[in-house]
Amino acid sequence: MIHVRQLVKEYRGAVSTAALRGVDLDVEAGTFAAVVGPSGCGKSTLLYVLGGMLGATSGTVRVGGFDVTAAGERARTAFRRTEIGFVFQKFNLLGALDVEDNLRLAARIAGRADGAAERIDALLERVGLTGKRRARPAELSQGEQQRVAIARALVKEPRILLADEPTGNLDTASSRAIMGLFREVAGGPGPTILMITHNPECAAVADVVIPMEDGRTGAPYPNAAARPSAERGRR
Amino acid sequence: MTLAVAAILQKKLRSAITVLAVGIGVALLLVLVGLTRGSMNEVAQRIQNVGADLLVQPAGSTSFLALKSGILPERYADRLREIPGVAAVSPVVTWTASFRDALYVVYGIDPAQFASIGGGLRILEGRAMEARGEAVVDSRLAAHAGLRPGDRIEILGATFRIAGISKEGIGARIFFLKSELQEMLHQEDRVSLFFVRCSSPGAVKATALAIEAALRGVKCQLLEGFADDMARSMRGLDEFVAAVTITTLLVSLLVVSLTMYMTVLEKTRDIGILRSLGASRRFIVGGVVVESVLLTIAGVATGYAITAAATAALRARYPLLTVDVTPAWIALAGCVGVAGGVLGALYPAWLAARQDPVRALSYE
Repeated sequence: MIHVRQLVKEYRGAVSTAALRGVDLDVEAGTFAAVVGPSGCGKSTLLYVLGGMLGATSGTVRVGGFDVTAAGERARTAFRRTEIGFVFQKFNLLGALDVEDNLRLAARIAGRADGAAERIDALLERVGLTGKRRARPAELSQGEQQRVAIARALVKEPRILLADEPTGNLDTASSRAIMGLFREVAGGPGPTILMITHNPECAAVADVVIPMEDGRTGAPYPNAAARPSAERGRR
Repeated sequence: MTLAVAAILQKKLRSAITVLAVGIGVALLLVLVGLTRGSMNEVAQRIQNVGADLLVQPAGSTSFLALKSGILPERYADRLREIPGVAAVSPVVTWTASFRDALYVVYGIDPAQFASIGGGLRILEGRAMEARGEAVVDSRLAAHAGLRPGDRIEILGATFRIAGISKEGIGARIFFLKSELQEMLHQEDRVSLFFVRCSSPGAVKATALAIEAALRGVKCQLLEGFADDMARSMRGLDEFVAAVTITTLLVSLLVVSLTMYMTVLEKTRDIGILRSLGASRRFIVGGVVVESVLLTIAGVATGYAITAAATAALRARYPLLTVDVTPAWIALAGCVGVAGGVLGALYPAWLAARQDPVRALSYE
């Protein structure tokens, strides 16, 4: 599903900085993978390149058969629109819209407005926010906001879910609830999940853990505690 | 649309200020043009309503400027009557007089001759002036100033008794005997213009040409279509209207541009979020433009409301003023306001569309 070869990303300026220094990575369809590493090791950069938000300096990235590194900005936007769901550390909900409209807009942008109402109902029930569909993000707790963000990512039915430190702004109880939600998503016929985190407790929920340090990934290892999601049926 | 409406409602004060600024621009355009055109049309209409076919003035004069002095010899009246096609002639002395802090065009006429070229003064109360020291005022001025037959007014440094009230909209608002006004202005045997009635409608153009050929130094104007001719003779009017229109366009453009620029800056993170969701640049541009169009439409509607209020206030305070706000100008002002808003949104929209999504997401 995700195949990365010798991926390099340099931020060019007065002083060039290499955030990714030759990343190699393979994540099979249906896997819940966690990239674990300290702050500044290039995890977020990797996620943004995979999601087509950043161009690569060199190397190749193929996601579900789509060559992200060869694609232009417009093609990457179209790819992100239909294939990728993002979950961010800071939730990144649109503050002017209520919960339901945040989800509806995401579905509309993805071109999946048909049946969106039913999917929104189901997702809000799944994340336990049915009673807060008309609430604005500012009226929700941080844990609730992250649950909305997950629902928003899923409403477009992406093939890949990319999560950037999804528990980074949450307390322990909320973090566990969110990880439980990710685990639940991974256990169903949902998307391949790639989560980056510096929190070993969160990484322990994933099927596969990929260590990362200084812009390079290490050898992935299966997480014994988690049931491998790759064994389930995939679309 | 939902996002645009939500964004407008989220920043209520700024949205309200933008709407008000656009509204003031639109109202400025409508009221100023309405006042200008209204006053001009009203004067032109009053001259047309005299009922004559032709207006004879000094050559080279404009319709307005000629209404200021008595420089044509009065004996031209007899020569005019001898020209084939001329049925009746009414010499008129015109002047501008101050009455109760306002300026009015006044006519000095011979009531019988004035009646011979049209419907005359059309007296509603009292009678026409018959003797020196008498005047007639029209019904609009009478209502505004609370005048009735028998009242006395101070004008042109003398006291006049109101002999009657005439129907409004014919010639001037105040009428005196021609001979008396000539004497007061030291313009004996001189008049400002002649109204001429022709023997038949088909003879009007030929008669006008005959008059210009017979009398040196006069121009003869057909009163049919006089308002349009007057508009043409008002040099600078088009430039004035264009200046007000452009000002409105610029006000709308600048206000909306500033608002949307600020909005785009504030919404940098939201733009990053939309881009992360896969929103195209066109979608981002569309969002900014839709928001600005909604703001300007609200601004135009506010402008219409301000115009209605201002027009009503002007009519109440200055009943003699005519504000002519036509459907065509209402439509034009609305288009100008919205066009300014759309143009003003283009640069901020372009800025929004070219935002780097990752940088936008990290914007605090």
